[in-house]
Amino acid sequence: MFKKTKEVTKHGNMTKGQWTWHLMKQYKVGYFMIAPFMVLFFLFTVIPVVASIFVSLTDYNMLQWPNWVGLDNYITLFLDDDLFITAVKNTLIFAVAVGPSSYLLSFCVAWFINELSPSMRAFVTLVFYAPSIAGGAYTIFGFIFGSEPNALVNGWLLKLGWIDSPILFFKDPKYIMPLCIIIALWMSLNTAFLSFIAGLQGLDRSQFEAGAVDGITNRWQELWYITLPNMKSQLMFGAVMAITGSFGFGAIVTTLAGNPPTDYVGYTIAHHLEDYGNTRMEVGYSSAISFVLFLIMIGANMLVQKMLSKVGE
Amino acid sequence: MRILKPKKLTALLLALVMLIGTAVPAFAADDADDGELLTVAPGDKAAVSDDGLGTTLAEISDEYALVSYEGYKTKYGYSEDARTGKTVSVKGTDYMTEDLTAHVDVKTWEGEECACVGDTGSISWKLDIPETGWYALSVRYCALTDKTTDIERVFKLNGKSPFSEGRYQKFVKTWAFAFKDVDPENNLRPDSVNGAEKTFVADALGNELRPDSVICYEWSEYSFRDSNGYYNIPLEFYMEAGENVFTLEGVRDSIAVSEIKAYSYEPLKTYEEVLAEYEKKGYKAAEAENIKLEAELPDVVSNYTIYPIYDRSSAISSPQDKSKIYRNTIGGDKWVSSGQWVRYSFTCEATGLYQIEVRFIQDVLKGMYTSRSIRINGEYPFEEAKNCQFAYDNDFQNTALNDGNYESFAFYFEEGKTYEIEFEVTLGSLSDVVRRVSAVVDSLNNDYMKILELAGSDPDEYRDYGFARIMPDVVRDLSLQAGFLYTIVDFITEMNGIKSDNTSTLEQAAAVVEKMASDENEIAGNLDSMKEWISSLGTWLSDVTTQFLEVDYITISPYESELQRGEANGWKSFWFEIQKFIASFYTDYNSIGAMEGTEEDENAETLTVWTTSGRDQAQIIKNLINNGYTQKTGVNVTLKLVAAGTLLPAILAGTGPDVSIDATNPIDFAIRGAVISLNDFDTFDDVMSRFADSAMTAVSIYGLTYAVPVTQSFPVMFVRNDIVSELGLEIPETWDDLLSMVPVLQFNNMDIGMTTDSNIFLYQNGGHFWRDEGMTVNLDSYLGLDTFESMCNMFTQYSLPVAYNAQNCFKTGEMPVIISDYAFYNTLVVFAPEISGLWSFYQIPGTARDDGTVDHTTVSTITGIIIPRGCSDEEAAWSFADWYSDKEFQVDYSNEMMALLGPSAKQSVANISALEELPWSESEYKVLQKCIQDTIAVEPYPGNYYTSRYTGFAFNAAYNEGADPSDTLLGYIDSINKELTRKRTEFELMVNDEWQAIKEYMGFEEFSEWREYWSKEQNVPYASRTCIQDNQEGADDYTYVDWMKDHNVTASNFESWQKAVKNGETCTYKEWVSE
Repeated sequence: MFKKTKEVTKHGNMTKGQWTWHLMKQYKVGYFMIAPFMVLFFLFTVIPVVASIFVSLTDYNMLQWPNWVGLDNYITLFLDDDLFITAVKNTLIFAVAVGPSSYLLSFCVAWFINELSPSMRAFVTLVFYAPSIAGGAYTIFGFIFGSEPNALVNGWLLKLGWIDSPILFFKDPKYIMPLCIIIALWMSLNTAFLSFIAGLQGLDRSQFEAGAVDGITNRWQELWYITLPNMKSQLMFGAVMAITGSFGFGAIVTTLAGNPPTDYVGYTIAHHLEDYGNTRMEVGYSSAISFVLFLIMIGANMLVQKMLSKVGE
Repeated sequence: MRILKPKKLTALLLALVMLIGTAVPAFAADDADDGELLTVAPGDKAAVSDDGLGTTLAEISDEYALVSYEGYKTKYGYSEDARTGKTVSVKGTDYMTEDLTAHVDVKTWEGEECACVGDTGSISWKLDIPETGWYALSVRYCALTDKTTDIERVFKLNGKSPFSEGRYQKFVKTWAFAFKDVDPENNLRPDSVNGAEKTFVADALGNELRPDSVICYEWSEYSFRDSNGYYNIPLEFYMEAGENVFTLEGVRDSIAVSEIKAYSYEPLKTYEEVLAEYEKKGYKAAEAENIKLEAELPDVVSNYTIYPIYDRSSAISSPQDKSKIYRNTIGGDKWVSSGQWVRYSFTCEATGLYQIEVRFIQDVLKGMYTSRSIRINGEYPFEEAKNCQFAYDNDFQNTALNDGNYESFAFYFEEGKTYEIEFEVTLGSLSDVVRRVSAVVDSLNNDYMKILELAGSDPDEYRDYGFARIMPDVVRDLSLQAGFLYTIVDFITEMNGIKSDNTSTLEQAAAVVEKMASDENEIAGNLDSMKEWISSLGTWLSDVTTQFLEVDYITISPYESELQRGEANGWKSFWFEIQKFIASFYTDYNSIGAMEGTEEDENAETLTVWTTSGRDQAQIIKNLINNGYTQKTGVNVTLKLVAAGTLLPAILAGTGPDVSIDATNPIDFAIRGAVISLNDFDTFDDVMSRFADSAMTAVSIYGLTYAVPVTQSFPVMFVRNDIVSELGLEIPETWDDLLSMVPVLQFNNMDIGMTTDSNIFLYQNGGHFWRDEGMTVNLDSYLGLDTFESMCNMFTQYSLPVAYNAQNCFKTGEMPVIISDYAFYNTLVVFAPEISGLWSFYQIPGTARDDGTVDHTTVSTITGIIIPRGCSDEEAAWSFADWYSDKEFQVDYSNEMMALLGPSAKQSVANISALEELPWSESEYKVLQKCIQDTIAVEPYPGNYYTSRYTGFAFNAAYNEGADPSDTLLGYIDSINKELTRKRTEFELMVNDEWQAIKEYMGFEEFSEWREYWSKEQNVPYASRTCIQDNQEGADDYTYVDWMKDHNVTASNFESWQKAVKNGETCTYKEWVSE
């Protein structure tokens, strides 16, 4: 009690600014050590993000001096851009289809693998993780589902006589979405998956014994009451990764089906952004799109945080 | 623990699934490689030269029907005794006047009376042969023009080509170098160069520059030979006593002919005989000083592409310097094809025997040697001189001329006499091997086609096709060819100086073929690998026929004297490297080529030029800039190789270049005011007259031009002549012809590779893509929809494939007709050497017009040079663009690229006169010339990216779902027009609504009327609302917007008028507005 008062007095002698400065001096080594990162982070992440908010209020086209247009870009975006609505729809479909399932998949696979012997575990981890290390691994689906009569799937279908002429898998609106979702799932065992494995490895075995004593009867209860609560930080990390991944999802579609894909099937906000930024050089407008995407992601993250806080209760 | 097991299992299972998933692409790639069915065998295919391009199919068939030289010899009973020993000659001026189609001038040219024959048409001479037998033929000729390519002729004896190897004859020209004190304007002759001091022109820093090559009009004798160099002696022809007609048909360039000769070829003495002779005459090694001939200073060379180059690697290359570039060698990758020669001359001080030492490097043909033949005063001294070998090594070597059996050849030279020595590229003793392998490739190709005919390209290996019963010839031939290959392998192994690893390709190919021949059940399973091996053999052939040699100097030293060192000792090399390293700190590599005078100027101009091409290309461009542009103008150039897509951010950041030489979308930059317009430069009209109109369309918008075209590419039709003629089809002239081929081809499991570009059809029918200068698209017109539909029908109704691997399908013959960009030529040359000569390209099919002619219009794409706004010196940048797009540079650049990368590096130049000088054969050039005349370009109006997107969607809908193409396209028109309007608003251009109001108000029909009215009324040329070029400055000018305000014409009151009219209002819009 006394101690606390003393501290308050000490604080009270100084203004808030002085106090902060005092602390900073006290921990100067720490500040010194994070400085390189912070400088770069500000320069290349924070400043561009803030700048893009300003750019989104202009009609910047990369080559000419921008004019201030206020909220025009946002108004057009929400009221006069049919494609944006399509893009939001597709993005949500992807996010809902890929986000949670890839998250669950990562966790389940990690959970299964955790039971294997160390050497086996290392090998199996590599096998699962491989598609996402090899960045553009999904391009092979371009060969498997290629449009040529000689490509793998078409070749077989033709040989078996199920079709007469090759199916243009990535040019046909019927197939684009499902294929891209499957491929995205195949690719989805990424860093989150690794962090889950690490989290599972770090569990304290004695807690399970204690749990057994306290009346845990099956592995589901073990999972819910011990494993998951212990892994909250990894789960959070994984969730953030899954969300950003599923919203920023676009490279797979662009590579396999082109940007834009036929009839804008599988056209996401990321594509919309790219279309305006690169093809039409309307950077102001595309900044507005990216800002909206940014807000959606933050919203989704907050939602997930809420949900994760319920784990183990 | 009991629960664990299934989980473990699940994990492993999942892992397995993933593994399989990752392994699948390997199969996929395999699968993509093999061709589909091909069931037609081409006729007996004889080897034809690379340029074997007839113009009509009948001629092509004739050509395939030609026998090979070997066949010809057997047919007419060739033997060395059948030479008659007689010589007949006829004067060039005594040509036959019957059947003369060439343009001929009889005059005295360079001191000889001759017939000067134009570049097309044919000319014949009568040879009165005294006795039936075998004769070699020679022509005494001289060049007439300074075109940089060789002269080419088709040769016919008594009206037809006797055999395939003799069909095409190449006549090289003689080139000298314009050294420092030689006036290149003065018509150079070999002897006039001789007298002059040979020094190179150097830049301000002392770096020596490439001398200009100047034509020498020199008469020379050419004996007809195999242009591939497969035969070391002249070709011999069987001629019956009496009159024989000797005909030359123009392929490329004009030629002066003074004499035609038929003579008996006399075998040369062997070296052994010559040695014996020396001994008999008592010749001794000469007692004289060494004579050193710098290889980079020849008297003359045979090709424009051979010129002094430099070596900076060896310390003792002569001359050599730590920092400056001295031209010290000749040859390299530019002196590799059979028949190219370099000539030197020297005078000896003492009579006696000499050896000829050569310091050279041959670090290309690993484990093998390359060959040169030696002529002294125009004669081979002995048989072995045709095969002087230069072995492989990473370093320079110095050896006396030899053929691998002797340490060095002895040559007898007399005191005070001047000798001319010529080094000519030859295949030497390899010629035999190469010829035999090439014959094997031909036979195997033939067998492959026959097997395909029966079993298809993907035969079932477990099925008994009964090859031995159905095609015993083929099976027998396979074993024969395998045997040939093994003999060749043995032959090579026995040869000196060749390591056995070069034969592994042949051995493995032989093993596969032998396996197939020995057991007919193996044929089906190995068919794929057989095709691969045929292809490998093709590549092997083209590798070994590239005779690389870079020569530093030649020493004429007394016979059997000690040879000089080939490479500096370790310390010397080490010291040289150190010096070079230190020198690299103070050498300004950017100003290489800058001439004296510019250096004193502190602010010597430097132009920054960006290119996105490859490193090889950039290096060549840099060299040409140093030797050409900088030398001429004194402006230093920094050439930077940048990644594509850097240009925009750089201009944005104000750090852009002064010139960018390969911009693909100049108009995108132009409409945003990022590049300057070029119309105001003095020489604008001159420069632009080099290009086709279509090229100009692509780089201009609203009357101003923003780029200088560099490349222009367009689709042509590639055809497998062998297959098409075998099936009895014709080269299609119109799309209808093409479609009538489809049933025949598809019956034989073949197809056509079509383009999905409907614009070609639209423009061939006289349609136009845009309406009112880009305000709306014209695709919803009747013609637009109709042509789009007929394009879609080709895929939906004729079921032509949409996606295909063009190289593979063309190579296997699965698609004997493919419409593709003409750069596909380059791919085929490298990818499918084994079918060279079996295909050619033609103009794409056209649409018949009402008057019976055919419209072959094609759509082209352009890259060009742009000058970004903010360029430091616009005049200099323009002069660079001028120089770069000029014929001279474009030809040099293409030649250099070809020298470096081979015939696959042909450029799609936009400069029309440069195209003529590229090494296309005459018939290929004619096709390209016709194509380029017929090209158009779709104007790049703002928003154009949106149209291709939606036509693509419409096509996909038609193909995937069988939707009606016109309906779907119509459904997209609104979206397209909306986007166009949006884009035009952004750039402050007149939009469709405004134009409709103006149109109604003024009573105009066409947009051009408005343009005319505007320039008359306002006394300024109409550009748009604001001139794009000055859309920042010129905003105060009176624009159409002001005009609309003044006349109270607006899009909204136009709309209300329209509504009123619908409701029965009768007044005109003009009246409505004034109310």
